[in-house]
Amino acid sequence: MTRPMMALAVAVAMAFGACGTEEPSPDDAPITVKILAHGSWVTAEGIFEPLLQDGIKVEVITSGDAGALTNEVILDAENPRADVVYGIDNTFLGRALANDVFGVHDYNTTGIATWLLDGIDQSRVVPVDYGDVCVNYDIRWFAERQIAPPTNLDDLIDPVYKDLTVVPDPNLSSPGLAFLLATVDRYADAWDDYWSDLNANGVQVVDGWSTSWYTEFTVSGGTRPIVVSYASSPPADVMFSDPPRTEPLVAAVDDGCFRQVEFAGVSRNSKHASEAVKVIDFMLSEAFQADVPANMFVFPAREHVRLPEVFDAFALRPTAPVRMSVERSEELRDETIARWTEVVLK
Amino acid sequence: MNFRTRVALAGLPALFAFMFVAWPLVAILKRGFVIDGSLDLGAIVDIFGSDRSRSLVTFTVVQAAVSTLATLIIGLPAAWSTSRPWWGASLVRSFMTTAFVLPTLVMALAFSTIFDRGLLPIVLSHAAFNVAVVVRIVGNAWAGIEPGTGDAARTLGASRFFAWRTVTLARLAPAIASSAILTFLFSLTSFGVVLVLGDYRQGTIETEIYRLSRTLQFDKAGALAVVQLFVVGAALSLSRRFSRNPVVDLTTVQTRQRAVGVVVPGLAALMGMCLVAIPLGTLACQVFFRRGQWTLNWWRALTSDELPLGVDPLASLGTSFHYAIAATFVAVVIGGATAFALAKASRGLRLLDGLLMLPLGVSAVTLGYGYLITFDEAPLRLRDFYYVVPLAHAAVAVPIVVWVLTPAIRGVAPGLREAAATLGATRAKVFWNIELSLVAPSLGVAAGFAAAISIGEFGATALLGRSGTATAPFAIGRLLSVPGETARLAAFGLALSLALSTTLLMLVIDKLTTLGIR
Repeated sequence: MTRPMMALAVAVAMAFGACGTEEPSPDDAPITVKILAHGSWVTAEGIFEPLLQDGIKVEVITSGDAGALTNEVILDAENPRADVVYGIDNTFLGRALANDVFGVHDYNTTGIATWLLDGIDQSRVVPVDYGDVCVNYDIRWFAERQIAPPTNLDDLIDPVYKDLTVVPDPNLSSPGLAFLLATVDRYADAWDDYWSDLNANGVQVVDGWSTSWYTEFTVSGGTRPIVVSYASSPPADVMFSDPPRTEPLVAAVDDGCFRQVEFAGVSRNSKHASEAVKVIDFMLSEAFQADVPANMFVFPAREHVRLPEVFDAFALRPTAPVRMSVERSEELRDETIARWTEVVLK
Repeated sequence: MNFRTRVALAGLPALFAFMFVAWPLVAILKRGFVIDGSLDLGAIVDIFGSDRSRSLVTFTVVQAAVSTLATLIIGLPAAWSTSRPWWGASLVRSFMTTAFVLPTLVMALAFSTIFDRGLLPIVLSHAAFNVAVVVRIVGNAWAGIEPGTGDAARTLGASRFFAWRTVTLARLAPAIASSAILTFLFSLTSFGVVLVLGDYRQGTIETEIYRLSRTLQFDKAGALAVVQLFVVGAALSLSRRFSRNPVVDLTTVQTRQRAVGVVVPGLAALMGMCLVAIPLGTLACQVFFRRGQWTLNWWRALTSDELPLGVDPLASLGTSFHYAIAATFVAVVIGGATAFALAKASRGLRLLDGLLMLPLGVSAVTLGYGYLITFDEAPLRLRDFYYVVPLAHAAVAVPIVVWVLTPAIRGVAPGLREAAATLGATRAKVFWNIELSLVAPSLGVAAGFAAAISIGEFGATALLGRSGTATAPFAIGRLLSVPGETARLAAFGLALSLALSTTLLMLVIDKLTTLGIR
């Protein structure tokens, strides 16, 4: 009898002993600034090392995509897990700002493209990079079947392309939401008819971009040759090719592209706010901005930053991407998603 | 124990029941019914006005009904088999019980290695979980029927079938109804299985509450949670018409049935055993045997730096065990106090019992959602509290602890207590040396079940967990949503590690059962 009780006592001691408080750090040790980023965060090894001179060590933790990230940041606003939040885009920024998750600070935005800064409350957030969400297709799949690949949004509801398209759920996925907003921009009040038609044309819906690209897309062995992805997916395809290729297997459609801008800000309740500001300023500097394209496949917010060759060669520069203000996205988002869910996920 | 001691003993569980069950539920009801301070049924009405919600509710009920039917078809022969004296009876029982406590995500992953998303794998994995419920409840009832009962009827001229129907079936009916109701409830509120195996568009109420909460649409989630409560309540009240109390007796009754050899009972149990063994075997094969050869790559995948930042499978296993210990401690203390207080029931204490049993029907996602909206403001901002996840686990585990302990406590012969008291032992000493030591093995069993529930729990964890405090099932969820062979392998490896840990726990339980439980 005593043995199980003792075991229980030991177990309890273990359970609660493990939650001791952190050791206080000596004054000269660097201060750790935590960045909470979206799940696609990739940078070069040791990119933040220059900040050690200022006594700042950077630790990155990741969340899901922009939507999941925004919701997590809002839920944890009083007691934030990180000092810097990076990766909330223009489609979700309105929700984050409405929930007052960012502190007010002065950022060094010299050199950042002015069209990105326009209409943004720069004391709360700054743009770090941008990209375009566009429809992509499997070049070889269409060539082998001698079917012309889609060239615009209308093609996707054409019976020729029946059962060929997969899209991520805008409830959970930011490229999914971006694509949805692009269709709202294009078809105005008739956007839900467009989606009914897409539904009738056998569109598949999956939880996120990853599932659509890595599981359902024909290039990865799936059954759908048309996906929602990025204008920079073709260069990414070449850079990640294994065995290496010099030409992309995917192409982006120059119609219905949606411009996504990704922002960074300091958590309102951050305990290291002034160091966090320095980290964000560093993210806007030449050193970090030049690293962004080849790793995260987005365009730097800073002007005159050299792009990798493969980027210049294969990234689509959409002729007229949909540019939606933070306010307009905020106005549309919840209502549009609710309606979309009724029309498509039934 | 006298009445006053029992009331005092009930204090702690009452506090727990109020904080972690009643209050969150009231908060949910408020979200569903009260808008801007006044009673408003609009949100609920909206649900039934929308095609999608109606189809969600229908699908939820239909899949639960089909799952229940499948469970009975597979479970009844297995139950019969365990009611006969043969060497495999206890093996079948232990095996199916282990399946019952397997983490839902592990079972779902196992079935996903064989089936595409759809209704069939959902139904089959619900059956794989719940066959144990039928085996335990119906098997025990069957074992308790004296072999001679039907003979009297037949002597008096009844046909074989008539005797079986009026005697055996009549005595089994309440047990079958109980197990069917429990299976229906478990399938109704199933989460991980539907999330992994369900068609993406075709969710259940449970997955929809999760989706709405995750996208911060708390009001809609609240309305749907209220609908869920009603469906569960309806199922429960319907159950009252068939059986008094759907209680699983986790102890094993000594069988009175005649032996019928090995072959027939073996075959009868085979379907249930295969249903669990084949998918798990396939999962294990996919982990250990890749590209035509045996490999330990899965172990390397668990520590690979190719995994997404913030997902650390080994650390998540650590968190899971740490949380399991905390949850087990809370569940055993709360459940133990409840069981001792309830050993002799009185009406007030029955209410407490009912309240603590609620998480069984309410579902973990709803509970997690309740915690999210309840523990939202200082000073009770428990949402950020490191131990909020194990507290939710404990709330889910308490009913099982009470189930296990109540019969054991009732089984302590009152004479023992009185004898000790006569010999001069203080009341505390009687409790410590007699009552507690006699139920110690059951306490161990209860702790084992609580730990298994905590290790496998996914619904509440999915809503309350953060990547910083990820449990193993949470990490599996993350790993499944990111691309790459390594992540998939790590998810499978982690699932297998969880399955092994749970099986070990069940082995310990089995040992304890043979040690001291009648």
